[in-house]
Amino acid sequence: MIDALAIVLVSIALGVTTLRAVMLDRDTPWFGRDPDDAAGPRRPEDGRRGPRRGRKDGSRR
Amino acid sequence: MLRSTFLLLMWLSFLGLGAAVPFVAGLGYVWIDLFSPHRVAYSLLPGMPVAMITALVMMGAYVAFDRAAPPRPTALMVLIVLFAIWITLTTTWAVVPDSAWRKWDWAVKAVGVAAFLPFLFRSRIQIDALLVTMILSVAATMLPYGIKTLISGGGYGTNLGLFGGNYGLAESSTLAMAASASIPLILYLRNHSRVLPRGRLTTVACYGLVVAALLTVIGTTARTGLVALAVLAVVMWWRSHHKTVYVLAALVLAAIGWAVADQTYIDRMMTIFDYGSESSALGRIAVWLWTLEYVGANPLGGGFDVYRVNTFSVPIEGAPGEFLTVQGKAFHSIYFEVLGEHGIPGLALYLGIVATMFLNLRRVMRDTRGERGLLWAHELARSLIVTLVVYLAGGAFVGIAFQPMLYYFAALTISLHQFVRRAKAADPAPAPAADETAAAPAERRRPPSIWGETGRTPQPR
Repeated sequence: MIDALAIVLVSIALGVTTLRAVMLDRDTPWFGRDPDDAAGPRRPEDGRRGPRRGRKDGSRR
Repeated sequence: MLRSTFLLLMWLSFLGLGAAVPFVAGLGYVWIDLFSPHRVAYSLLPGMPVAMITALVMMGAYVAFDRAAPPRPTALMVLIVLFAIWITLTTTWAVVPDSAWRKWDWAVKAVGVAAFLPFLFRSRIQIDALLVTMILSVAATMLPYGIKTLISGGGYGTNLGLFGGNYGLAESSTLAMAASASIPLILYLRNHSRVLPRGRLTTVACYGLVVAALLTVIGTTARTGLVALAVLAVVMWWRSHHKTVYVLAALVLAAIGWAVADQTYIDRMMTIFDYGSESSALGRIAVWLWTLEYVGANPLGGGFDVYRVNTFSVPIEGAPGEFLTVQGKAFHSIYFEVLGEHGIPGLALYLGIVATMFLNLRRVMRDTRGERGLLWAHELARSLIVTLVVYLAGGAFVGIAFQPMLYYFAALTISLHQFVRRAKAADPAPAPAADETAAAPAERRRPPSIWGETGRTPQPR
């Protein structure tokens, strides 16, 4: 009973943390989200995500 | 059957997700290696080559999807690969070939995987996930062991874990070592993990795991565990900012432990100081002397499990004319294990791996000092150093040189070192602490450190 409870509890924790890691990891190709972006979207000048609004020199397209 | 099906589904989940996200397959491999689901399950998994299948998926997924930004070869990686080659070579001239090749089969995987994992675990979240998976995999054994110790008191030779035998965490000294070494890492995760959801539940779970680890060490009645705990206590005291409070708390805990401990436990621990007449301790010293003598005649070692050929008699202290005859006594020390099996070059490589781990971790600490965005890396390096010290001190009395924990610590060290190197290359100058763009909301909401200091830099890929 104790063994089964421990296995289930730890497995749930492992499942949750693994899924959370996949969600958070920036290298994940599809729905990856940088944890550093948790407070808001990545800045456009960072270049990897978010709409690009102009050229690098600041002029409009 | 329910347990077996549940674990089978867990494994298949790791494989399924791991086929698309390679580092998850790496997590699955670590889970299998440390938790041993194929031994915990009663049916389905035991007959399957779960580790091999997971390793194939892990490597295949890496080659197919994840070769971007591989880590640079480092001294630590090279030493690990050289060590894997050397232990293979020594097996070719092993004195006990059948037994040697059996041990080589699992030992070389533990060593080799440590050189591969840094290719999978590169970002902060991936490193974090690797550490969480390691701790949870050990926790699956520690948790029931701790609870059963609380109920029954444990005892030497009593296996309260998830499976029997003398393999992995089923071996009491190995489990005691793993439990002791995991404590600094659990405390680190409680303060700095992003993979663990934040909140009281996580805090309670982490402290609960620390208690379970302590109970596990007591429950195993392994003297190695007590040595490891004593070393951990001293190192944590040395690092602590509140040394007096720490000493008082430790004394109170020790007094409670002494009051509730079983008399057989106390008697067994007291034999640490009675090594001259206690047969187990006396046998260890004798086998260490035999190893020195053996390596003197065979400097390249005798291959895995060479201890099986030893036989000797040693006089018992305080009993004139009485001898303790020992045959096939295991090394009971990581250092003598590597020395006897793989000779002087093997020990040099092993110590080289350990020394390079310390140097890399010290380098990480130096490079991240005062940078809040890399506080987590600083603290992880510090916690890994404490863990290593505990592991190496306890390992002096138990033959766990090829148990995977140490090699996972090496993989973590490489990943962390490479991450910090990239971070420093991306932005060598520390950004102002007031910069609000990136890293540190997590650190701001949590206590700054279990050991001290803060700072930040942008996070690299």
